[in-house]
Amino acid sequence: MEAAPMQWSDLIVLGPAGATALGALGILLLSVLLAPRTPGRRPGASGARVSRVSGVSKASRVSGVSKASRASRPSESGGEDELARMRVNLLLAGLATASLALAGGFAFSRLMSQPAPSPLSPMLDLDGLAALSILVVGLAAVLVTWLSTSRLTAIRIPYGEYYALVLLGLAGSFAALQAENMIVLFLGLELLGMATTILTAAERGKKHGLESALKAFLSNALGSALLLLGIILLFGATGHFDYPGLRDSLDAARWLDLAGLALVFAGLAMKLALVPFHQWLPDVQEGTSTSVAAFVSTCVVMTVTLAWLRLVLHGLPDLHALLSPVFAGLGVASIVLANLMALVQRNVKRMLGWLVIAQAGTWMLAFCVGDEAAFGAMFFYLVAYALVMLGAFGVVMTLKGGGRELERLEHFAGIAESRKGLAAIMTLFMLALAGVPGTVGFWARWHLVGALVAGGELVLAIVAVMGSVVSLYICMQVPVMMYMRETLEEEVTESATNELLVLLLCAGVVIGLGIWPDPLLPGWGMGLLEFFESSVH
Amino acid sequence: MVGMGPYVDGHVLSWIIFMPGATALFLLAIGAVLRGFFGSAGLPGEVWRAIALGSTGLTLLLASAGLFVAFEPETMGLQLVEYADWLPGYGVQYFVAVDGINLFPVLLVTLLVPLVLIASWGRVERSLRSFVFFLLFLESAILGVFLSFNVLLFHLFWQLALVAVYFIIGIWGGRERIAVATKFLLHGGVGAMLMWVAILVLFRLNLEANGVPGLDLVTQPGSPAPGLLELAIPASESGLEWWRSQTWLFLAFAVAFATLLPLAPLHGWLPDALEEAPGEGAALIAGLLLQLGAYGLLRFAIPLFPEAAESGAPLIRILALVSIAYAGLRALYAVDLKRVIAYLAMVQGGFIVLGLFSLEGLGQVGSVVGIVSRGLVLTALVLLVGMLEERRGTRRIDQFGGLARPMPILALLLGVAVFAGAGAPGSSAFVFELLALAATFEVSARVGLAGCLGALAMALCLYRIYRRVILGPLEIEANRNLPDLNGQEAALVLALLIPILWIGLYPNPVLRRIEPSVLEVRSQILERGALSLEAGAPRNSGPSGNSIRVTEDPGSPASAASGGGR
Repeated sequence: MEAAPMQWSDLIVLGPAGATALGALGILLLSVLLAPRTPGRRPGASGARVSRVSGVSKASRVSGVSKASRASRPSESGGEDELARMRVNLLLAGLATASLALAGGFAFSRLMSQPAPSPLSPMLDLDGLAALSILVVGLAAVLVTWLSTSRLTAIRIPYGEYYALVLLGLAGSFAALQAENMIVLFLGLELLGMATTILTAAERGKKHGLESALKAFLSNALGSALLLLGIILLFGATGHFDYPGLRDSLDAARWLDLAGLALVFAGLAMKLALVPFHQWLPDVQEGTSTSVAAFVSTCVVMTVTLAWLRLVLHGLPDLHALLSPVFAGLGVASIVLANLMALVQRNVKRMLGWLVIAQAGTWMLAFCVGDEAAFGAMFFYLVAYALVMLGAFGVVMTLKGGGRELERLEHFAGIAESRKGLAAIMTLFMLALAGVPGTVGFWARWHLVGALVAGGELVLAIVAVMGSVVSLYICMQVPVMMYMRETLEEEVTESATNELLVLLLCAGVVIGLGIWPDPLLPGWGMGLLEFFESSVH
Repeated sequence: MVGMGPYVDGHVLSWIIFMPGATALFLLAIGAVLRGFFGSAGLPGEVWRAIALGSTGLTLLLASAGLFVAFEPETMGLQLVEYADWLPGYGVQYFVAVDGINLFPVLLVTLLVPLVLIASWGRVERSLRSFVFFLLFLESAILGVFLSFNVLLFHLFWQLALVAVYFIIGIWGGRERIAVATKFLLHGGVGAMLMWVAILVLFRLNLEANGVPGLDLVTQPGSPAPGLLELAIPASESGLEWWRSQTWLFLAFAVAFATLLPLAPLHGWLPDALEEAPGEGAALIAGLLLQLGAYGLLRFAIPLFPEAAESGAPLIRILALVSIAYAGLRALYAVDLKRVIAYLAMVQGGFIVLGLFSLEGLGQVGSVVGIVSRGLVLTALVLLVGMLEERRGTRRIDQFGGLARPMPILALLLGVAVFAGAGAPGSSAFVFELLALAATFEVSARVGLAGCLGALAMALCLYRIYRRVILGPLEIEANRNLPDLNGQEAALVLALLIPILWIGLYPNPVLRRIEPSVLEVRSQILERGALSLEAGAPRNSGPSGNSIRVTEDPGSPASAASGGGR
């Protein structure tokens, strides 16, 4: 590489990850500054100790201060305190949105122009694929943020840490999405995984909360270990960490390379929760708070998928024949097993967790075809999926009654009587998840299965379609409960405005793209086309 | 077009399709505004029903004035075409039109829905607003299915209709409603998914052949893509290319259509669905939903894949016979009146299939009449049974007997409906069974004879049930003081019986409109060189007076057999 002098414009590459990381820092600082000064703080208490204390005393009300000085204090708050907390909450959420918008702006500017290669390119690059991926994941993250604001007040998670962790995870995610190097990929995913693990444990009072956090931690660690071991083996075999180097010197006939690849793939599959590495996801979804579950099942899952796509396209473009059966196996196993398991779930969050696995298996089939149409379809599918999943989790999040979340299927019984609009929206999301026409899910499936048919993978296409028949049955269980069963005596509390706005936005886009899906296509096409031109030679 | 103002002229079909659905959305919006801004409870359900009745009545008016009157029987091809770009990249165009094949089904739909709304007066009270919403939604979806000439547009409406019926069964059904709704959805869903994959393959094939995405059924001037009917699809392919063959595609379409028809062995959902659905829902299923399957076969499956249809026809005819025999036997031992209606639907569905897969113009004309006739007859029967059940609280056959004395009007109307169901002369069912069986005789005398026997058996079975319910001694005390039908109920049933008798006594206006379209579709197929069977035998593509003469010919063996049921 020519040792050109570093210029400011070169730093645009670092823009998305940098903006989010700075946003995380800013939120932490601000939350310390804005924290209400209250007596009875116990500075210097260790984090673990404090967790236990406040986990036991439910009344503990932890305001947004940094972790080291977090303390439990008796709840003596009046309405004024509540209002102030809500203001801080909204301010921090706005700040998080702003930094994500800045990151998105960097990515978008990259889509609009054609900058010169930067000296940072061997490590991470902001090409069309990366920019698109960042936009997709960032958008999902913004929606998650606004879905969770009022929930955070209810369950008394300190906002400062929460938003900072979300942004920190996204910084890692953006780095992984831009990776041109295995080390960057690993670091990015590791940062994301760490942040997610802490978030999983955030709602401490919840039943199974700690168990699910532990599960998330262990599976994340195992995935990272496999990934790292694979990277090391590949380095030993080829002498390269960077994707172009791997592309040139990987020899699929050597067992060391194969073992390295297998481990890397196992690690990624672990993080994406594909069968047979799936065990952790439904448990985590059930155990953690719903906003974190939404974060895991959209941002995290999409990040791993797209980072994987980047690795395959940039690092392993010539191994299609070798990798295709692997992806087919992972995908088909995920579709079959996850759909079957989702059939018997009675907890909606857990059911959605299994459906995440099934959907991930479906879009992984695009790798088996591996052409532009297939990956374009996968992008479309991801966007549709994110909208629908966020909507579904959002509905679960806003349905509260008797001081807890109503997350079992039985809790949905007869909700159509008292909450007509919410029931209709949830029905829409469930229909979209099953791919019924008039929703974006229909076109997502149309593109993906169409790409499979065009690629001659008809058996895989039929598996995907049969999977969606089963998921139609699974998804319709929720409307069945809402519309066809008698109402329980449970009182359902009102939803917060911001949650409803996000839900309405998701529902509107799901229907809008269902009736007119065209606006999405040129964008994907452009980004991917550009990327393909750059990667063919 | 007849001068109905600048907004209606040229868009009659769109008005017909979307008026009910738009009314539903409008009512929803009004309710939301009232609740949100004025804090009131929203419009009461009765107002919803009244507005819906007005809207569906207007649709009926539009359909009869704008469609039936404006329809030109002598014109070949599609009329009142509306064609607009929707999603050209996906091959989905907004392409609706009317011809002789879908004219009468559309009239049937627009007639039945307001009648069902009237019938629901005073009966459906629970979640009335949702009921009206789903009813209007269903009418729009079904009209869309009948009028679409783009395969994917057709499929979109098809799935929406399934979803609407699913909710109607599941919310307002009987005790087992959820299990039955699920059973219906799985039956319908598997078929719909298969059809969906086949459409995807068609899209691929058309793209490969022409380089332009297009899923229109017939070529439309101004569209870059030629219609699917001009696409040459290989009859069979070997090895890995099997999925591109007509055989497979036909099978995928046919399963979806045969499920709704329903044809054995895909009928499992129907008796349960009719039994569990509320009276109004059962009328919609029996009257409207079942007709979609037959229409799909005639409009899409047979013209798109003629070779596969031809080579599969013998097997399908056997299936139809099996269906007729099985349903007839089950009807003989059924104890629930609604289940009897379900089996009658299967028997008549079998005759429709016989007509369609005779692959003769005559038989297919008969099947179109059959679509309309079956809708009218089944709806009349379902409504009558519903009225009976409302008074007596049961549908069990052994709980009745001698009803003619306390309820003479019901006895009379039910008698007419049962005669129509049995295919007695003078009813529309007679016309269609006659045409279907006559065409079947042309193809295979043995199948035709078996079909005649089936018709005879079903007729005897129906008369036997009628005798046990209406005639005979009045033994059960509870039946002694049942009130007879009131004027409104009688008028409701009469509105269905009059068209039945009209088609039965004077079928000419109907046949005259249906026949040119059916023959034109056939000649298009023949032009493509498909249908080897017909290549040298123009016996049924003659002038349009041909088949009508057969109708009035008492010497035909089919007539003798059908008439023997009297």
